[in-house]
Amino acid sequence: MFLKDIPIKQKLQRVIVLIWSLVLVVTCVGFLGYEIYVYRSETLEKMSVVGGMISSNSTASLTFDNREDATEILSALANEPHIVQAALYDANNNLFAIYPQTAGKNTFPSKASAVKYHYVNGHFQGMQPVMLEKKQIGMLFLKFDINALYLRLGVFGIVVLLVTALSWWLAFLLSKNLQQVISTPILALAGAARAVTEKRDYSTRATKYGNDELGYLTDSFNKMLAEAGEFAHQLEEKVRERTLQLQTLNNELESFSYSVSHDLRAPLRAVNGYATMLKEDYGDRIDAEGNRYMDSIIEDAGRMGTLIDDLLAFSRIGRKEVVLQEVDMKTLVSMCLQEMNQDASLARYRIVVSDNLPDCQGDHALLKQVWMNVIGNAVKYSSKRDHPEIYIDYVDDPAEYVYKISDNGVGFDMKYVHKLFGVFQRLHSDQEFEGTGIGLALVHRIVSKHRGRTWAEAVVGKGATIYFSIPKNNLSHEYS
Amino acid sequence: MSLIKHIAFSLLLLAAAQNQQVQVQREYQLKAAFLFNFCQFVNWPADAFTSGEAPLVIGVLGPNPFGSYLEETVSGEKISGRPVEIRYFKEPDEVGDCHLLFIGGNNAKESSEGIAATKGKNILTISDQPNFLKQDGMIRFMNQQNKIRFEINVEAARSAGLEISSKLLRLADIYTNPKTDRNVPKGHSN
Repeated sequence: MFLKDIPIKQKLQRVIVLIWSLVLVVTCVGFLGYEIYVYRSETLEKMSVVGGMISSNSTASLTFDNREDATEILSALANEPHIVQAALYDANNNLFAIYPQTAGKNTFPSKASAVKYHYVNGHFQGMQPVMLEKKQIGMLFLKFDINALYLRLGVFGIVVLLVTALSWWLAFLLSKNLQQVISTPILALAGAARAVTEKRDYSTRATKYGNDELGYLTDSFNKMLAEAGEFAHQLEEKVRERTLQLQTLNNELESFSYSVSHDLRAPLRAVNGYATMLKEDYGDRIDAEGNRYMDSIIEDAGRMGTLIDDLLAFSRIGRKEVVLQEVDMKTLVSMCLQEMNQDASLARYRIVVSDNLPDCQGDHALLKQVWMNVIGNAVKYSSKRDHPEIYIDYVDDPAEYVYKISDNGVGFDMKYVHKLFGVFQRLHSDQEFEGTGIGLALVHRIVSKHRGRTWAEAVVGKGATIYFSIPKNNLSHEYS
Repeated sequence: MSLIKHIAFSLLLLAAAQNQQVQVQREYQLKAAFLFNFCQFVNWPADAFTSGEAPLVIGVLGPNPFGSYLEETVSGEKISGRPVEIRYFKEPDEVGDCHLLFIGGNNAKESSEGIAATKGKNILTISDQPNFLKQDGMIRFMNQQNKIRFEINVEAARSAGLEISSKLLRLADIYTNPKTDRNVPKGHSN
């Protein structure tokens, strides 16, 4: 409908003006019809009155065959400008006298015959008998000009136009004020609803203007708002409570795992130290089988140490505060690559780093750990390739800096992608690739602390791509 | 002058006389219609009739110039619901109850006697006699340009209690009595 999308104020106003116009049009058409009807009957009446007078006056002229007198009687019609032609016919229906005399005789019906008054070519004409002593002694023909009707209708039309314009204007002004009765409470409701949705201010209340349905609606709305406000408040309270509980729990857990890891390290160092000393001092006195056992003890103690170190690093990150600064990611990446190259030669790797790697706002030390881990991961899982390749690139995004690290390594089954970033979760066995299962969990934890995201794609045997993102405008956020 | 010529001349004379006779007949046929028509434009007082259905009587005094035309004209006609009757009177003292009296002849003395005989009665008097209106007659026929016109003495009609319709007066010349020059409606003047 054409009124569908316009404001309610205009809707109401248009409806009022539309109805008013319709009423006006119907009324005017009615009056016009009535006017035409009245004019018609008035004309008929006038013609019968005038005709009656002429007939009565002309009886003597007709009976005494006096054409001059009949003509003179007809000439009195000059006072009736709407009668354009008139004629008298004698008892034998022959033309007897005409009006006006200037009109040609052939413009009149040559013979009289009783015809009721009717419309002919913009005229109203007809014949009526002239009676004397109940006997018809002749006929009177009258022709009436209808232009008077058009003139009258023209005047009527102008009046109708003026009245319409005036009342339309009045309707417009009135509706402008009257529509407020309905639109004001609705607009107040709409305003309140908007305030609630935009500002989440549940203390807003819509003003009540009356006790009609809109008043009832306003009351209901306000009641609903109060309930929603109460509900939202309760929800917030609950969330705050739970968050606090979670935080406490988390802190406890972290300090627990930290202290556990920390406390585990001392006896482990003792085990490792004594096993090493045993092998050095008494190795030659123990047979080969015993030496093999000691090697296993030393190796496993070493691995356990690494595990504990990683775990400590992981839990430390949970406690560490993020220090935001502008980080030049390209430099950071080449720094990491350089460092890794010292540990083990990366000469046989083809490593491509995008020139346009964007900078971001983050904790320099933590982001370095991220890169070390994701690049180390890629190096590790592509190490069995003859021509291992690693690509470090980014993805354009309006809200985030998205970095991606692809390799042509062993990949993994996407079925287990949800386990990828979990602590101690490994998709490959220790025999295939060494590792503690901490690396990507650490990456996830650091990126999460930057309010970023981590995700991955892979195909078994073809390689994997790890993504992580750091939000833009990160400086505006507060970090704990 | 030969006999044939004499006969031919006689025949011619006869034809002319015949023609004259036809014209006179035509004139009185019209005048008969006029007499009847006058009845339709004149109002008699109610007591001029003995009853509601009593006939309206047209009388002819003296010689009858109409032949049978009057009877033919009024036959079957009614005026205000009354039948019309024709009566003929030879002498003025024979004039009885009639409503319209045509006084024939061209003699001033006869017409004067006729008028005298209608005095005090509601009788409309009509004649061809030129001085008829001067003698207090009411309607006089005139021949003008081959047309029959009439002159009316409204005063005389009024004193006889007769009302002549203005429609009739429109068509008539109005006679004004020089002795009592009063403002009577002015009619057609030719």
